[in-house]
Amino acid sequence: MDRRESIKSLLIGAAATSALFTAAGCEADTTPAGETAAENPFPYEGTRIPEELRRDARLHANAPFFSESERKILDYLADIILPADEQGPAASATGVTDFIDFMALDFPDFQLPLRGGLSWLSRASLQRFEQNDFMALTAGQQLEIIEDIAYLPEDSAEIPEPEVAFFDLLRRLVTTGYFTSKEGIKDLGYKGNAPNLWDGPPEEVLRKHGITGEEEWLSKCVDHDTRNEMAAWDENGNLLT
Amino acid sequence: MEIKKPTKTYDAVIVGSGAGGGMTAKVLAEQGLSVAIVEAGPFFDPADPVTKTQMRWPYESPRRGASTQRDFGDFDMAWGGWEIEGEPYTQAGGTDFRWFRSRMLGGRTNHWGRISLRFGPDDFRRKDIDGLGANWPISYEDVKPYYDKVDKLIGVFGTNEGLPNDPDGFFLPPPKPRLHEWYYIKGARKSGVTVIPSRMSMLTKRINKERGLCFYCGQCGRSCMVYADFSSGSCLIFPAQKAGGQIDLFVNCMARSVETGPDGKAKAVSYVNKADRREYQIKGKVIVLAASSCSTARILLNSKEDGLGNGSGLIGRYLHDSTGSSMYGFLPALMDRDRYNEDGVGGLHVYSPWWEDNRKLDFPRGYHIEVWGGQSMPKYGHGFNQAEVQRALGITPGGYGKKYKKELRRIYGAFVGMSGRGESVAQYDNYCEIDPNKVDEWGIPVLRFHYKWRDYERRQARHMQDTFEEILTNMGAKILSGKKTAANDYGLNKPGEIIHEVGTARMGDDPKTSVTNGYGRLHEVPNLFITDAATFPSQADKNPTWTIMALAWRTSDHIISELKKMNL
Repeated sequence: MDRRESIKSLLIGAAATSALFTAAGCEADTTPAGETAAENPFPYEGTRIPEELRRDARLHANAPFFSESERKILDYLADIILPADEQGPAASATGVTDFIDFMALDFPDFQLPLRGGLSWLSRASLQRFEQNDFMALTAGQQLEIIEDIAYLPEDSAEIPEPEVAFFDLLRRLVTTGYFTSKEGIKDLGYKGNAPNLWDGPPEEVLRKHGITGEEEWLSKCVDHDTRNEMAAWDENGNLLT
Repeated sequence: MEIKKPTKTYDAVIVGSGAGGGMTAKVLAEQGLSVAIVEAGPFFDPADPVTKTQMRWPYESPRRGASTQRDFGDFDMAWGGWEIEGEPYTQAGGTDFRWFRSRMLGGRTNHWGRISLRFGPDDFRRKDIDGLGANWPISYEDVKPYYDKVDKLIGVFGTNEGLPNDPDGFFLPPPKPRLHEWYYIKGARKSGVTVIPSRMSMLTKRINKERGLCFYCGQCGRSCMVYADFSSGSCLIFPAQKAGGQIDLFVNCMARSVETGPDGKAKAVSYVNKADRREYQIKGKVIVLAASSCSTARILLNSKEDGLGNGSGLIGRYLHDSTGSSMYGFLPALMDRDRYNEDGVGGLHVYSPWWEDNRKLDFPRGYHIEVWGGQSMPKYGHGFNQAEVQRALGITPGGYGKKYKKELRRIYGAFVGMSGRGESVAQYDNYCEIDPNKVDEWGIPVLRFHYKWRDYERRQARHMQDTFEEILTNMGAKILSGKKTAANDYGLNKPGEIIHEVGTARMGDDPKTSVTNGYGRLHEVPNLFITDAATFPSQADKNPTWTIMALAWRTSDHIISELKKMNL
């Protein structure tokens, strides 16, 4: 049985109700990461229990957390942190600001540092360039301010200043938001979340990392060609099939 | 909502639908008994496409799978967690015990790690070896036939290694190691630490025509829609129902107490139906508690003043969870990795069973090591540790722009971590009891916990930290999580965090020093049995689920035999 047939066959049976998944799964070899979800007719809400739905509804009722002008700055900073390059789009194009807005509601501890940091940008803009709107500065002026808050202390035990901590938190959220987006996952090159038959790292990878001489270990491992043969053992637990 | 009302007397009423309750229901129903299962949560079937989280992408969650709402993230298949709205518990004397509950059919088997380890011969007689705690009233030889049957019924991959206290079994073939696991294998060997293929209950090979086979998405924690991993619903309850077994499910029904008759026998389970918030009773000739260690203790303690069957005073006592301590690092050798799908099965492909002799060490019990890392699906938190990586690589921490973006791509999949899961020593002073001043939203008095780690556990955790540091260093990794010291109990997890809590109604031959006999039958209530881990006198450095199921099967056979002899 070839791999494709085998993958198809393993989705029959208990998953008979998941007809759509079966169809998506069989395309696994050719479908780029991130393209099956759009076909999923079952919304996220179905996966929530009533308490969670109630809490989510409360959060959504308070959205957006950030004002329109704050969101503009967040979009801008997101692209400073992760700009477009040859491998992927700019962070703002992948929905990170919506994600950060939701997280500020979902985890209220984020609210003060984020909001306080945005305010600090206004003060820094005024102090340095006599303009309290960070977005009205020239790109060079903006970068001058950012350059001052973009680096953490070398010593991880040292507590950074609030504006540095603000930018660090934003950097984390932008990074997570981007790399968990459809575009970011593709950029990163994550190849999973697709039915397959794991058979160890590719040969050339093992060679490159000097993993050799492990025949004894590998001889005990699964042979997918016989996976559909019903398991049977002798009385000592030796697998016969 | 239609309220299901109990109208008949069942042969057996089982509280709880997890590993113990599911196995008990299956075995009893297959023998023709009428069975009722009382489950505190709603119905759940991993194959239901509406509720399934398997194969979903992080961007399908507004929080990208963060754990702000569900303890292990939005996609984890545990409806519940360490805190449940309306179902609190309290702590005494500085205790911080964490009590995880899944309120759903199948309970915690829907999300568990599927690490399926038999206890070994020594694990049933620890007191003989180190003088601590209590021996079991039964031996490995008593349980072995049931372990064998569980292996064949449920399916578990692994290898027969001939290790003295990590017994061989009837294994399916294990998956090949991932790249970071090969590094671990080499690092562990260099330190003389045993490393073997892991033993987990996913189907790498067919064992019956009903269940699908693993398709290596690495998401067992989300519960498998093709039933390729073990969960109580998919592997025990549903198959028993399909085979014609009489199993009635009373879901959303929160058990309160066991009612007894004038003859001292158990006759019914009282519960609150969450749908109408009213109290009901369901009658059974045999009552089985499999509600999880602490819930089972709570039901018994709420059944009668001073507790039902509690002449020993030990119900709730000897509560113990596995120990845990972790370390992780960054492997420069894995930078700029080739990308390929290495999801594999959900969890580790290799592990280290306990390899040392405790007689030569300053702590009495062992632990095993679980390994994690690799090119996993990005989720909330991805990139949060970049500053630590930069420091390890000598790059100024922080930054932004194209250079920063490139750094993040370069280090993807280059992390490796290890977690120790160890045996703690059961202590009389670690226990749960009824808090006299508090009830949950169903009006049921709640549990109050008393729990402290001892130096036994701290020294074991220190050994974990030393070992992890040595292995990570052998692997060429840079440690990012730091090395935990005495100041923070060597990174010991809080009790309850490993979710292996056992021991609250321990078994034994002497009714003065134990709650049940070797079959989980209460010394004082002849038709009341326990088939969860409450009966474990000691815990072993293994995950409890396989033993819960083996013992539940054994107890169920005993119930059938006793019924035939008219002894119940």
